[in-house]
Formats: sequence, C-alpha cells, structure tokens
Amino acid sequence: MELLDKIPGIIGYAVINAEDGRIEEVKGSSTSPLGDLSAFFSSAGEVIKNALGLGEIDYLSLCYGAHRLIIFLNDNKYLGIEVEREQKPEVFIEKIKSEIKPVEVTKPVVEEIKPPPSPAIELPRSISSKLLQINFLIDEFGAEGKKAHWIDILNQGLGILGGDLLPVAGIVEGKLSFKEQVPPEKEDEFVQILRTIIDFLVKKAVEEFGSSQARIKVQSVIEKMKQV
Amino acid sequence: MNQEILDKFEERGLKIVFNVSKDGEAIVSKSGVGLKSKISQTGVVIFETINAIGGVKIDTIEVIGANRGLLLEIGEDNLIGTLFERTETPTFENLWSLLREIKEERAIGVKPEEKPRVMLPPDILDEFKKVLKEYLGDFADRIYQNQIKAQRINIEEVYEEDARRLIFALGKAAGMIIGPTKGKELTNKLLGKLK
Repeated sequence: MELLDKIPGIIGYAVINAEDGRIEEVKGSSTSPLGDLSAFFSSAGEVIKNALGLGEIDYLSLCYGAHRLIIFLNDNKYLGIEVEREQKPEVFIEKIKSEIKPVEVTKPVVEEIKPPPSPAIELPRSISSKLLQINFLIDEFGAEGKKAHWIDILNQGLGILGGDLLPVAGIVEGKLSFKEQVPPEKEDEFVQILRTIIDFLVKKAVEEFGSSQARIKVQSVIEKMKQV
Repeated sequence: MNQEILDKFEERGLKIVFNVSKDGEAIVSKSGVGLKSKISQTGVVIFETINAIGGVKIDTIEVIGANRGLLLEIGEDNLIGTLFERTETPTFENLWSLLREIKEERAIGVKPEEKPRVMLPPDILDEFKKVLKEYLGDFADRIYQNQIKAQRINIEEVYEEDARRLIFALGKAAGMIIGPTKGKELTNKLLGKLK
C-alpha cells in the first residue's frame, strides 16, 4: 500500500486482512493505535451491519480529538486511514479509491496514452534544506542496517511535534517528503517544526550513540550539506 | 433521558433515535421500538470495542451501509444515536446537529446527584506550561500546542475532565522525548496541579 504514503491528507494508515482480522501493516506518524482501532472496529461493523440491517458497509468513521479514522473495505482488505477531523469520509474514500484503482485492461491499444505527469512539488529553500538535513541525518544514523529503526523514530517525532505538517508531509520511499505544495502562510511554521524535528533526532542520537559519536555523525551531515 | 425527548426529536427529522447506556439499557423512539434489542446489542458492542482498545477518547462514530446508516454521539456512560434509511437521508450535518441538541437537552436534565463538571482556574494551563518547560525545555511549546489542538481543548474554559485528558496526552508525548519514567513523573506533577 505504498501508494497511500503519497496521498496528501493521510496522517497514518493500517491495513487489515478482512478474512481473519490480522493487522498486516501500520504506517505513518499517528500516535493512535491505528492497527487495533481498524481491526476492532471493522469487526464490530460487521456485527452492527447484521444486527441493524445496514446492508454492505460503505465505511465506518470514528472521531477522536482532532482526528478522524475512516475504515472501508478495499480488495479484501480493510483500510483504516487517519485524517484530520474536518475531512469528509465519502470524499476522501473516493480520492483514495481513484488513486489505488488498478489500471483496467481494455481492447487492444492503438496508441499508448500516458497520464499527465503529476506536477512537481516546489518547496521554498528554507524548507527543502531542512528536509534534506533530516533525510541525511536518517541515512547517517540509520547506516549499518538501522534505517527502519530511525524511520520509526522520525515518525514518532513527527507524531508528537509535527502538528499541521502531518497531513502534507510524510515518509515516502524511505525519505521525509512533502506530498503537496506548502501554503506560503505556513512556511515559517513548517520551518520551525522541521527545526524541532532535527533537534529531536539529534537528542535521540545522543541517547543511542553517546554524545561524541553523535557529534561525529552530525558533523558528517553538515559536511554533506555543504557539498549540496 | 426519557422517551418523550426522543420522540420529540423523531418528529423533528430523526428517523429512529435512541439512547443506550453502557450496560446496554436502551430507550428508543417510537418508530424503532421493534429494534430495541438490536439497538441495545449495538450499544454494547460499541462500548466493549472502545474498552478493548482503551486510551482513545472516541466521541462520534458513523457506520454507513448501502441501505441504512448509523450516527452515534459517544458519552462517558451512554451513547445517543440515530438509525436512518439511506434513501431518505437529509444531510449528515443536520442529523449530527439534532443529535447534539439531544445531548444538550440531556445535560440540562442531569439528575442532581450526578457529578457536576468542574471548571478550573484560568491560569491552570500556564501552570502546565511551566512544568512542561522544566521537563522538556525547547520542546515544551510545540508539544503543548500540538496536544491542545489534538485533544480539542477550549483554552477559554478548561474543565477538569479535559485537563486530565490533556495531562495524559502530554505525559505520553513527553515520554517519547524524555523516556517513559520521566514522562510518568511529569504526568504526576501535572496531576498534582489539579489538587
């Protein structure tokens, strides 16, 4: 479900096997137990559907705090997707289904029509340099096969410090990336958030490697930044 | 909550409207009397599921099927809900707004022996911030702002139950920075401010 990583608005998601209720995957920077919430409520939804004659479930939506979890069935799997509370479930589900819909095989193709390339995201320099620094730090700290562990730490940091950044940025193919353009009025706030995330990663590195090793690794990232 | 209130709201556009307490006792408006036991079962399933997960304060649930939909406002000890046919649905916003009216009407009719909500002094959040700063340094402001938003705290009127929810959320978030032991210590220190 890597495709979900790239969709703006998604804070985190869980994939549940609809046959046995097994949690197959949980990703993103949510601080809520998305796997349990999606698994338990998809199962509760089945019981309620039968009790009250709801018919096939289109979706379940749970609101807690500033967040909403939308659970729906897609291709024998329940997807539980956390978004901001204000999002409309039907609109979001349509958006997701259209993104993950498999390409239909039609009659012999005379001429291959390629979809228009998605517009590149241009980030202000203040943001792109912080983003680069974070990704360099993750590469440096996560060298020697520990990248997944540091991605987890980054997601933790995003979850507690990310705030308004969460719906628009996330881990895509192992890198912290923006999924949509940054609104100009949010630039300063996002820079501040990214700066705090860097401090968080460095703090965690000091705890994990000790201060002198962490300093060497951070220095190495500074050198890399100079070469860019 | 009594049957009369629910019937009144049924007349105002809620098809079947009900109240289910945590132990499964259901009061259902007149159109839904035949479904009373199923509605009770639904309420029990919802509360059991919320309890099984624990730690997440779910306040509304929608279960939308092809034929019928269900909207639920979840309280501490009860839930208020409506069951409607998909074919004759007004907008969900209208249904939610009517459900909230029922909730308010119930609040007005709270029995005197029930515990009233306690409003805290206006400077309580400043007290929290000071403690956070002490434990989290430069991370304090952002953790505080994010949790105020995530827990939907009204900073103009802070009630004890909201403050407790905020404290546990702050403690959990802080634990990811300073470790779980210090996070718990912070939680206890913040709880001490409520005394």
